[in-house]
Amino acid sequence: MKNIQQFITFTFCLIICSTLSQAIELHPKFKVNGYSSFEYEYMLDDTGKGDPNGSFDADLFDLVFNIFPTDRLRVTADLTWEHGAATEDNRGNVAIEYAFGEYTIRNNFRMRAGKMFSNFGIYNEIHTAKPAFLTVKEPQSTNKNHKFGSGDGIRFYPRWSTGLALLNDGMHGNNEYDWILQLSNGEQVITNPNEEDNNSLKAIGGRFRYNLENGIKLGSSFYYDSLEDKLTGYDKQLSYGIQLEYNPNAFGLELEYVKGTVDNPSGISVELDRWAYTAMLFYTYKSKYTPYLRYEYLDPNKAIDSDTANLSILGLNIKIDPSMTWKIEFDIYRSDKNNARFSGDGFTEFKTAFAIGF
Amino acid sequence: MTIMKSQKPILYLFVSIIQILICCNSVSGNDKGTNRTNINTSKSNLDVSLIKNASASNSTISAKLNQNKETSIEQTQSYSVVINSNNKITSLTKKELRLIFLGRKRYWTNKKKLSIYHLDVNSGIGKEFLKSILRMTPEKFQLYWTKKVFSGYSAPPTEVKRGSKLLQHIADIEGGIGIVLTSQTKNLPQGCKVIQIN
Repeated sequence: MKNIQQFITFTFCLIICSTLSQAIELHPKFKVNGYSSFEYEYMLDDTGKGDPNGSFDADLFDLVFNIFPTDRLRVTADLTWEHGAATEDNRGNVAIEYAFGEYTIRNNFRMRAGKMFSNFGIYNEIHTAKPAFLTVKEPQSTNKNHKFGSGDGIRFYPRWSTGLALLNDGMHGNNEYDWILQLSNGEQVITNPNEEDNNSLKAIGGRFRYNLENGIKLGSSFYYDSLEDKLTGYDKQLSYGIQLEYNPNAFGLELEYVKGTVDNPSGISVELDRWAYTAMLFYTYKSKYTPYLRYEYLDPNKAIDSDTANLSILGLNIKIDPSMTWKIEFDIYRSDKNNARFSGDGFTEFKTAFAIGF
Repeated sequence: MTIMKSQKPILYLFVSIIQILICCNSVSGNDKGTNRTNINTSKSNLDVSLIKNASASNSTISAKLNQNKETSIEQTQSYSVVINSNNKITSLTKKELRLIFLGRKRYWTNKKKLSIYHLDVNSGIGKEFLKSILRMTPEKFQLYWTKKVFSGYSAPPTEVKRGSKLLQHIADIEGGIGIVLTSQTKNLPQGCKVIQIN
């Protein structure tokens, strides 16, 4: 009976979601886009860190604004409401994912100022925009390692960076390239890094991408920060990564490798030397059905034995409508006994989501 | 559970995959060449059969050839690129058009901001344009822009339901550019002009 109730609610929500409108242009200088995701997760094993109850999740609703005060100036923002945000009840989350001004100095040379995503790898800027990728969640090993067994809680790079950025793109023969260089406050806990730096040094990050004419997309990223965290003793942080994307026809491939270190000269905490990778294969059939297979691996610290975790995902993405996809997947988690999050647990979780982009 | 702790194999694997992809691509390029040869061969076979039947009916063959010619002209001219008539540009290369519709070229030479308009990408004209200029399917085009917009890199091109509405937008906006059916350019509104694609 409980399952039937869940199914009816699920279907009802699908109908509600599917009535959302398409892209909106209120004025040639003001465009509104957005996305939403409705999810369901259920752990198939008796023990593990998954959801044993099978819960619905009003995961997020985002609005993305693009405003052009002048021909050379673009102001953009992504506002998110997560998990049915209701501040009166202290539920959910409301956040500015990014909000910055971008000024075009020349046709292909731009400058940004404001709060933006750290420009690292394939996924961090795509963040939680579910219509922009196949799986239910973005990769944890390379993008959210703090939720995948990095006991220190320090990501390879912070999700957001507030500061300045320079961007450029162009052609090299018939190949396309782009790069971005970012100077920001970096990550910190005591102060709000979007308002005040806790040290005099700034974080520097950047990425270079090169798209070959034959469809191979290569990229490399780096992030350098001075944490100067007096409680934990963590100091200099350096992360770098390489990426590969290839999707010439129905077949597709994604690979990402990230490595990072965090110094701890005071010896209060253990120094970190970690690495991770994500590999994904997919095949699109009749422009509608895309089965995918993803493998993620994280070694949170090379100095600690038996602390790794991995995740294998077998899933199917169905394009119900040009603006809507249905994602169904099985996530198989495996871990070693010293992994800070999973502690040797191995479990399987069923996940499904309806993602809408407009 | 034994999990690999060394990362060197991963780097080797990464490099190997890139090498394989590059090799595969050059092979598939050769395949394309082979296919092309096959097509040419079959075409020449067709020509031979036409010649053989020529004595039977010359007029039928010439009618068929004319019909093929017309079809081919119609195919190459099924869409046209329209811009605002105040813009002094008279032609664009396919490469420039590709950069414009991928959001990598954002300004005209007169420093006016480009405003891109297109009809439904899933329509016949949309698919043809994407295939011939961008070498993309509608799904890939949509995914490309979804990633670009949601990651904060750009505002998307504007999709317009009707060709007449698209032309009106271009007439109103100095930096406007759009793709319409060639048949819709016969009675262009004031403020629009068709440009050549080289």
